[in-house]
Amino acid sequence: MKKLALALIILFFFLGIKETKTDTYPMNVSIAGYYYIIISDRLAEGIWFTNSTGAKENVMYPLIAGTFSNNATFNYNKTNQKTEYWAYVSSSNLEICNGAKYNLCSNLTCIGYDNFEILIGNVSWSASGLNDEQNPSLSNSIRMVLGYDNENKTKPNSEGYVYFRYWLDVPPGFPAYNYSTIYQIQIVQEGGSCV
Amino acid sequence: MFKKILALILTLIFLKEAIATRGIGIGPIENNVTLKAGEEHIFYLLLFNPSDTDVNVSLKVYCLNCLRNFSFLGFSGKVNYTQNFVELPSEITVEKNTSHLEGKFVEVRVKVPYFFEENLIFDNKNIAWLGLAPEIKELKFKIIASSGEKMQFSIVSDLNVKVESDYSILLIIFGIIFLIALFFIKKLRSS
Repeated sequence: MKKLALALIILFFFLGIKETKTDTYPMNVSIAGYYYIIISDRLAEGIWFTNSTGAKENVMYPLIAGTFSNNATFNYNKTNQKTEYWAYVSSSNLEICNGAKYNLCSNLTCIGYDNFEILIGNVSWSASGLNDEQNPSLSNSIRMVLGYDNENKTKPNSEGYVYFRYWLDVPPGFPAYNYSTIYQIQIVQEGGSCV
Repeated sequence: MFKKILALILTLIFLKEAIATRGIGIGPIENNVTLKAGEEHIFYLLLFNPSDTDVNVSLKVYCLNCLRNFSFLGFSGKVNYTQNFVELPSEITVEKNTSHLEGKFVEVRVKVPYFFEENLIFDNKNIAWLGLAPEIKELKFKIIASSGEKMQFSIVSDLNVKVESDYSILLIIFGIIFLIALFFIKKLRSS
């Protein structure tokens, strides 16, 4: 019995030593730089879709159901025809994913019996390293997805810029409401995946 | 004259509004650490904001490989390690026009416990138990700093934790079991 007690005391002594080894300390650290993103003011204030008149004037006007490829308000700046939606990243070995959190909903949280929902695939986007009247182009546009589109990541140009344009198809028969979602973009290292 | 000055002031205010970009910077891009069970590692996540507007950043941690397939004695399912060993503030304000030299540091603690709370998802039922650290070789995390309201932009710092096998805790547990068994055997013999 005494031997057992002694063995337990020795054991707990070692356990105590083990406990002291769990103190906080840094080890084997390798740090690899920093990076940043800046997004344009027009992108930061949200993407607002408008009709053909509004696209020319950079003003948001209500859309009519059953109209297609409606421009975002600042797809074409009325003075120079360049897009005002851009992102700048500080390193060329980064990639940008984008997507939406929800479908376009008449209720903010997409919940409720009175909620109307336009599927996010009705929004399309296009990205380019060039910014002029032709680029980014509608003909190269990609349907937006929920979450992040890891299949269609975009790389910045040599100066670190990515330019975007957005379009919306409004399916026929949708009632007049404000439809909204949260657009999201994420920057990851080249080859990484967005979550 | 007064009207001209007023117009100029209004124009300047408008221009200031028009160039209000938003942004966020993060460092390190990647952090690799090697930890044994029971050890804790502290590192500092750098957040800065080179844009023209203060941003509120929310920080979240995603574990990429905490959910894994499980197979044992004909049973199979999914194991999900509970991600409770990285502590981060929920939201932080990062002031505008700050470079990486002037940014804010956020303390991040990573601890590999001896035991992981595991949830086995089997046949749509959730069975909770404690798993031992030595069975986990690597944990891959993404620390994501997000900002924005109408549109969210986020930036990622990778954290890779290599877990070194440490069987000393197992030896201690088996030692205790052995001593208790020995105690009962002796007691049985004496009686």
